[in-house]
Amino acid sequence: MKFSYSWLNDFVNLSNISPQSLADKLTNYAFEVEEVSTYGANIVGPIIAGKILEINPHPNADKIRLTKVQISDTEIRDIVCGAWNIEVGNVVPVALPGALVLNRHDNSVLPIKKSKIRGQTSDGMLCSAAELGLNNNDSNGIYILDNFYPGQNLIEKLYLNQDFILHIEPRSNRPDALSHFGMAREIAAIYDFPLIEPQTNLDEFKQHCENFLKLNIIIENLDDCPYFLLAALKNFKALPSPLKIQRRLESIGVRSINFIVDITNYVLHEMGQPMHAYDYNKLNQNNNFIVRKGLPNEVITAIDNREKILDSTNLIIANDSIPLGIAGIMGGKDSEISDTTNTIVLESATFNAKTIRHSSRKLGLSSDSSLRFERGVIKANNLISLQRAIYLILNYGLAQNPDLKYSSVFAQGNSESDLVELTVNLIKINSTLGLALTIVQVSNILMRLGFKIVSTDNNELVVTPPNYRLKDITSPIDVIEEIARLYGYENIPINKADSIDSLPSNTNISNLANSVLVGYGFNEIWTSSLIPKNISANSIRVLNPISRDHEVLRESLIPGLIEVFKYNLDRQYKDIWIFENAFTYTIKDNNNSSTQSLNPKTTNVQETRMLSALIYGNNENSNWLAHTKETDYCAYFRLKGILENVLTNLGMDLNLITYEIINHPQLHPGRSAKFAYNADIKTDLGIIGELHPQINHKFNLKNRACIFELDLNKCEQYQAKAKFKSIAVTPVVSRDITIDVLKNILQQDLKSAIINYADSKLINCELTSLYHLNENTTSLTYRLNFQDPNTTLTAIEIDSIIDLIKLNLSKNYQVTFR
Amino acid sequence: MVFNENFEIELNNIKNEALTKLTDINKIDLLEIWKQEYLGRKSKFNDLLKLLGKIDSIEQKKSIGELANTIKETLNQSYENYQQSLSELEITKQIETESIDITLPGLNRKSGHYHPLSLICQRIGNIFQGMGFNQVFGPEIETNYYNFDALNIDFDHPARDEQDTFYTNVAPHVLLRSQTSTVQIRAMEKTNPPLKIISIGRVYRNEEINARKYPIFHQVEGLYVNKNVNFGQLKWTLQKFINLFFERDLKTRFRPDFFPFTEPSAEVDCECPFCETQGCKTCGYKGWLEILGCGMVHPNVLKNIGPNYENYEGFAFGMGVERLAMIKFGINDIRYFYNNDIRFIEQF
Ligand SMILES: [Zn+2]
Repeated sequence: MKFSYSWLNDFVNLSNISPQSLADKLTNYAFEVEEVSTYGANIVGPIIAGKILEINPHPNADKIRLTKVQISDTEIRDIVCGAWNIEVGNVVPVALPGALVLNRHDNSVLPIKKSKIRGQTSDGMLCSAAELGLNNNDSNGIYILDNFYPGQNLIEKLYLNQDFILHIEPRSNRPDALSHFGMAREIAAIYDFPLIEPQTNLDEFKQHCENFLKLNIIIENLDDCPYFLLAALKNFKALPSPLKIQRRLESIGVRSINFIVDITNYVLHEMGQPMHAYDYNKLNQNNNFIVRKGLPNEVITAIDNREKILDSTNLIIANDSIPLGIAGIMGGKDSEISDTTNTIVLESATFNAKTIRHSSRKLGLSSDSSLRFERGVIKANNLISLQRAIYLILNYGLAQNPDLKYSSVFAQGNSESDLVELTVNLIKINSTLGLALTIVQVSNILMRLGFKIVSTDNNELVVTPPNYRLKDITSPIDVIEEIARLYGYENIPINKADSIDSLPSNTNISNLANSVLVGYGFNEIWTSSLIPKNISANSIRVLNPISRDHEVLRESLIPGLIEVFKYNLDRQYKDIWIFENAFTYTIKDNNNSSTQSLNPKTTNVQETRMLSALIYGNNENSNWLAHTKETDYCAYFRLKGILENVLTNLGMDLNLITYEIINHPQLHPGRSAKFAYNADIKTDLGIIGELHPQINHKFNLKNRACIFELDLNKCEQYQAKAKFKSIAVTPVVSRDITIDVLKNILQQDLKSAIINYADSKLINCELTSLYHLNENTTSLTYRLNFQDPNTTLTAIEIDSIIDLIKLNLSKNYQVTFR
Repeated sequence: MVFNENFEIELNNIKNEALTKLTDINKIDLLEIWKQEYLGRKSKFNDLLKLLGKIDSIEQKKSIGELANTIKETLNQSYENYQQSLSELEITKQIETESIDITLPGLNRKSGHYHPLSLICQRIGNIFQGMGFNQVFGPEIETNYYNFDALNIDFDHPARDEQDTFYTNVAPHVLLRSQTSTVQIRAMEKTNPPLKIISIGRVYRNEEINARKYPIFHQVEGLYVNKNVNFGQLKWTLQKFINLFFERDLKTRFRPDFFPFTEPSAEVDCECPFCETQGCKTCGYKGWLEILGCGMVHPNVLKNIGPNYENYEGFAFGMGVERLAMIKFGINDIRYFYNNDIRFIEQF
């Protein structure tokens, strides 16, 4: 929001505070100033109104002429002029030596000096509007002034001084500071300067007050509109908007419309009170103003020339049955102020913030007015703002409209606000802020902010917030905040915070898993948890997604992994090893959801931490020793080996993990598995597999890609704590056993059978070779390591274990031994 | 006697022959053959010694025996010397032939990289853990209660608007949390005061994607509740954090702000580490960077938790992980974090 420095200066004397230091101060006291810009050119006086007495030809030039210009009762200057629109008797702006104006060719600074032009003295310069930095259409010729007399200081009269504009972030909790007067009140409090009230006293215009009509106000529901004021003016004839008002509005980005509308906008930005003006002559003259909800399909053409279809969401002002305007948002075209308006009705009201917000949203229409009503206008401000508007109209309008009359104010509703008394404890203030303030210091700060001190004793103050702060100051802590703010956050001393006991920290399984994968050469990725809609019916959907690509919460990390894989493939990456460690989201149990959803503290959503990895290609640096590359067939086993190392590092016993072939839409049906942990019960841990050939084909892949996904929550559940076992000193004895089996027997079954049949002396069992004998038969060699921690095993003992294994294997499987 | 003399001559001949042969030997395996020939069980030397028994005189036996032993020792000694020098020679030769270009590249895997947000989260976590904050976690799919009500955010507050918060089909009160402050409440409900926690996690806001905004981002939330906690301690904690995070002493600026769940509230700026308040592109020519929001926990929030939080005070703070990462690493577009271009990740 833009604030004019000179306008603020109307209400608080800023002559010793530069715009930049004001901006810095406000930034440190809750009103962040984003930028300080300038408005208008840097025009410097003396620039005086002068009357042209003579125009004579230049003896040495055709295109320029000599003028004699009267600049005061006694002083006449010779000035050379190149413009031809002037006549004797015109009053024009004269820049005297020492002045700075604008160079009309390039807008650079043009200093005025006494000079000789082709031999003739020129003691100043007659100026065009453009040279004075004014946006007049007629910028080529000299600016001919109406109603000015020689000697008038034009810097003041034409508002030529450069102004500074502060761009201040509006605060949602401070509707009282959405205006120049409100902001000036804040500035006065911060600096402890006196506040200058705006001129609203109509006493000097008493003879223009006349009860020439009576207006009836009917409010349907006081919740929507607690207070509503109207006043009328008659015998108005169109006149130009005052220059000062135009310049000020323009400086904060508000376009000048006409005298009356400009005044209402001026009051809006000065007092923070939205105003509306109706052309009384366009109403049906029965003088009833009704504040009510819109009726179904009621239509109004707003002043933006668009037709709006209303309903009961919208609050409207109606003249009997005819809608005049959308309350708090925009007026209607039919009662708009025009050049012929003679009698004006001014409205100043308080509307419910919520009502206006819903109405504005519903119509998709907002305005400077609705913005303020949505944040809450101050009821106490309604009347003085209305008086301020009348004051300004009379002040600027009476000279040309001497018959102007204004009515008394018609009101409906209640202007009273409930005053709150708040009790603030001094000890609490000091303990919260880490200060040692006294009652007197606290009282002074609060009085600067407009609080009334109702009573004080040694440790307590009873205070009443000012009527413009009733919205944001409702409890003692709000008062403490205001004390802190005015005392200055920078003045609060730094205190070392105590350390307190640690909570037991759970071992971070996530970091462990990540470090294993990073060590393997994987790059970590973070993908969006909102993904495009998929076929899964159970997925959690966002009701208001920003796009189709972010519609449901992921149930697996695999789609994200594949997307990032694709993204990097498209950027010519040939070897991609990536992983993600993040949450997936599912609805817990559909049966109970109806009862669960009633509990406002639970969501019935399961968030599961998953680890998912993808390998594609080789992640070794280019191997100049030119070893043979692995075949595609190995991608699966390569990733499986990594997965097994991750699991081992997480404290999982690999002997308890079993694999089972699965069908997964993204994975190769012959080369993918789910794996489970067989502790007390069988628990699925995740899946692993090669990317489906269809995806391979679609992405035009040269190598095979492999993926796994592992449920870390489950791993955490089964994770074994490391425990020391004493190291045996007895020798380890190895035996190889080679078994020919049918291909359909799973290696995992064979191995667990071996482990089962051997006794505890078998310390590990490893597949060391695999050989396809023919289409149906495979030959497997296992190396078995035996050890007894207490004695050295003899060959006979080991032979008997091996025999037992062989015997049991042949009983249960179709096997032969070599 | 002749036999005796011959015996001695014979022994010396064998010795001389052996030593002469030895000088021609230049390989370990030849040395072993030599050893067999002169010192083995079937050596000439041994053959000769077998005849020793035929000598009658004990004296003679003794003297020849001594001679034989001396010679045997000499040969053994020579063998060992030769073995030593020959193996040294062979290692020298091996070294000569095996030298490599030690500048050829090492055989290695590409190293993996953590995502920059991981690194920042770890860094933030470590700093606060060092100050005694315990790290806790809370769910991302939340309820109206934890995301708004418990945090003193009015039913009518604009933040509750659909325009800012994602709602779900799970239930009308279930939403994607828009701030990690939810964890404050969950932690206080579970633990009796005092407590000192941080939580780092993912949050969601209904915002269009551009260089500065992404509907998904991460926040760090901190909370300290104890008796006599004050604003000065909050200032100390955050000043300390900023210095540790940026690895240098940076000026800070606490500006009054408004949040429903803290009061007094402040926005904290730190001196731009790139231009030292002179103004540059990173700080938008302001000289200061907005880093975090903080304040004293609102009494209503504590009151909502329950009577065990009566008579306690607290401070809380929250900051954006992406923003800190962007400042720390000089990243100018938030979308880099979620595109996961390997050329991006490999830089960290
Ligand atoms: Zn900077």
